[in-house]
Amino acid sequence: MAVLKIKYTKTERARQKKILKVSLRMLPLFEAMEKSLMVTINTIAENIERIKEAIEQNKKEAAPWIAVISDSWVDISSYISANKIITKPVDVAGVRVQQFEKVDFDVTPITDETPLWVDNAIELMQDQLQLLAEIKCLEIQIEILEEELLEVRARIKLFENRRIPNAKTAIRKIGQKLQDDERLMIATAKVVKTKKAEEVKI
Amino acid sequence: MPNLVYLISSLPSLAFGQSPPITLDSFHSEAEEQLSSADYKKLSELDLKYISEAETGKLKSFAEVIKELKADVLEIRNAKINERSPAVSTLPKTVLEQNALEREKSIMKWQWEQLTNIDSGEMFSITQICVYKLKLQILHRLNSFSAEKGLEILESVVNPTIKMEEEE
Repeated sequence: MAVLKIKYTKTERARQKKILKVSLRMLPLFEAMEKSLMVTINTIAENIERIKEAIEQNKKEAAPWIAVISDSWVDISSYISANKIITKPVDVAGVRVQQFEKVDFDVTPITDETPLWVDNAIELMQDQLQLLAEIKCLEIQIEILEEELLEVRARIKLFENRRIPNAKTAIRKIGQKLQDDERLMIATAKVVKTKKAEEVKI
Repeated sequence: MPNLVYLISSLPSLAFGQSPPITLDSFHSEAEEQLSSADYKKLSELDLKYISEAETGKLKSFAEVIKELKADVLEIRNAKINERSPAVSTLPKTVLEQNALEREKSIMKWQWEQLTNIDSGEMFSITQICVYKLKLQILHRLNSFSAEKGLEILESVVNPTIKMEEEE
């Protein structure tokens, strides 16, 4: 651990007091931010689970007819594809993230030759693509929020383990040193005064 | 004619729902050997997926019922868009209650039955060979339905790498 270098002056003591005051005011804010980020991350993770359940539910509902998707007459991938995910920037727990809006699909128009099941498959695939895209956005949000949480935790650690104790130590040491200096000055003055008085008597 | 008799007699019988007993390629090569070039050309160009009213004879009437089937499919689609009950004229109404797979199978069964109607009364004719090909196509298509493959295709379509873009 690095040795704390202190300037034993009144100005330094005032500076350290200011640091302590600001740090004590900032710490609860960072703690609240940490709590808020943790709650938000948990909520997003729960949302991801909920969406995953919806995906599984869709699969379950499609299971009785999923076999038709392998129809040798149809290449379903030529009917639907996701072009891009549209997002909008929002602030979540004070952090700027991208929120899922919709998926921009490329859907080939259905013709008279297109079997009827293709309609169901396109609906299912659109649903699944939307849900998966939403998960992707939420996972990115979690990544960003976790990075922010790490930074906030590092700051809390800094305040708790270094800034506040260091400032307190510095204030105490400067106070002691200043008191010692004052006592020494008074004692020296007394000695000088006594010596002067003795010289006058002689 | 003797070649046609030989070809028809040598082909394995077909039943709806069974695995195709021969591949379409084997069928074509057998037919190519036994049929005249004009008949073979007609047969090779015939495709259940793209059957049109340009067909002649009994196949023309089959093409017509397929057209009616397509009109029913269109009606089902329109009814869904407009949130009303579809009024089908050709397809059995039971298909409306079925899931996508059962419905497709019912439609194929219905096509099979239409082909069987055309086939009845035919004795060693090119129409019989054409009907055989169309039925064989139905069996191959039916055989392609696989839950495992279907799920694989679904996963491959819904798990692509998609780029993200901020809304303007």
